[in-house]
Amino acid sequence: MTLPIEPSAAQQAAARVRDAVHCATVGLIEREQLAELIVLAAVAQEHLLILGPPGTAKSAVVRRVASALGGRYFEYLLGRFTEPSELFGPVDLRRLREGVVETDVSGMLPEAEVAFLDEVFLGSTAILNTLLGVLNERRFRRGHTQIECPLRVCVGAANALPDDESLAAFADRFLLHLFVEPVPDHQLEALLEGGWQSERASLAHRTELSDIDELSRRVPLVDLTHARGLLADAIRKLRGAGLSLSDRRIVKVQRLIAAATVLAGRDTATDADLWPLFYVMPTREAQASAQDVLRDSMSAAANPTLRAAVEHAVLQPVSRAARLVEAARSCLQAGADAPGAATIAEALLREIDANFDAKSLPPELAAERARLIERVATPT
Amino acid sequence: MKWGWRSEADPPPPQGAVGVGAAAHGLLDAIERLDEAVRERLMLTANDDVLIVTGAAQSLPWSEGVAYVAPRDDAPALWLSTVERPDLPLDLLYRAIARRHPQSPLLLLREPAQIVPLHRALPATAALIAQIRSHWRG
Repeated sequence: MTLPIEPSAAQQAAARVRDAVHCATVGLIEREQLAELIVLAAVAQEHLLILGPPGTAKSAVVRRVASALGGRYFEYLLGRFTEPSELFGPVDLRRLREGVVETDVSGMLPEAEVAFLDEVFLGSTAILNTLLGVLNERRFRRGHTQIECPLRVCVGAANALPDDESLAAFADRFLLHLFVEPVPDHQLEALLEGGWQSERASLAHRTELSDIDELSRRVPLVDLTHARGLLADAIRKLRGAGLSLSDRRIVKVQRLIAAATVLAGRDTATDADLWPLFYVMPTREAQASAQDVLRDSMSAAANPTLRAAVEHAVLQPVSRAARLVEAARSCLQAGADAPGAATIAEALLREIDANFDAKSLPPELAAERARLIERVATPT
Repeated sequence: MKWGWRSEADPPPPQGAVGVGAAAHGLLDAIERLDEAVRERLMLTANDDVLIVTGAAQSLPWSEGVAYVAPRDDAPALWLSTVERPDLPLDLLYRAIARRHPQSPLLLLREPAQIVPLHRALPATAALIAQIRSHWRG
């Protein structure tokens, strides 16, 4: 199938997006996955729900990704007493005198391109109903105000999934669910050092939202013929293991698979692109079980733009090796005289050897490993 | 009972490094090159042929030929290579081994097939490193 835009244009846009994700997560430990899923959601025109304890750098990552993508950003911490006007804007008093109830949305959620709503389930019914329109239809309706929203992606956050049935239905509108944990013990030193650096680092604007739009436009053009059969097989396996998904989520996961394909620089989805199915599983338990059930179906999973997201989803050596190859190349490009070059090379060698033995080491990674050994051996 | 080894689907972060034979000597050299403050947070234990260093992942040295090791959640006192595990429940395996080897924790090596107790590990001071070298020379 020939697409109207040269593949290289999409690949260039994907490379800029990857650079933006990388810059947005410098100094933030184990948060690349979150940054990459924001990008996947934005390209698929879907939304992401983050579930986890407070203080896990959720808002910092979203803010940094929004800044790196260059989009208009809106962030709000919802509470039980949050008024709709705090999110959507106040009633326009001048127009009210004329008998028209209009909302002044300047600088508020209806104008945002990237939004982060913390404690999203604490919103009142009025807020959540209006939000549904914004999330599903990209349309804001209140009183006489009806406007199209430029929203590319909304990231919601909460400590846990809600028990309440009506709120569960709202949670279902976030197609991607990501469960985050505090940084593990062995990463605490890196967390402290990274946090120190990231506080001082300025937020750089690395790409344009037009890159996301460019990639997004290609999503409906992706050839899903082959992947659709693989997806149906994977869903049958999930059902066989007692893991069910709503029909809506099953249909919508195709958008994520297509977005992953585009971000991988291709226009035909293959077995490498099924991995977003993991993030569509709504609960932590379902995600853990799906990882086991789909181990074979996702053995080929890979994506050069979204390596961390793939690695966490499928826990497969292929994706882990790809991430290590990229990290090794980036380390070697930095030059032997860069500060801490030998230490970084040694840390990478340690990670490679802790993940692969001689029999399982992929040839591409073996080559980078040999170059890292030269780097460690070279006196600086 | 027959059992084998299989690849670890999700290798855990290393908590130790093991060198056997020539790799043990390379590992001891690498430990000696570490800053003293980092080195003395590591723990060392050795026998005639094997050197084991344990500590936080980011403090562990790298040298050619070493294998990284860590315990698993289902048997916290049984240390294994990070890249493979026995193909049977680890808690049962540990209980079977612990009947004959009461020390804890234990490292189970595949090649050479060995069970190495880790309970006697000591801080990696210059004196301990010299003592290990002298033992190997002797």
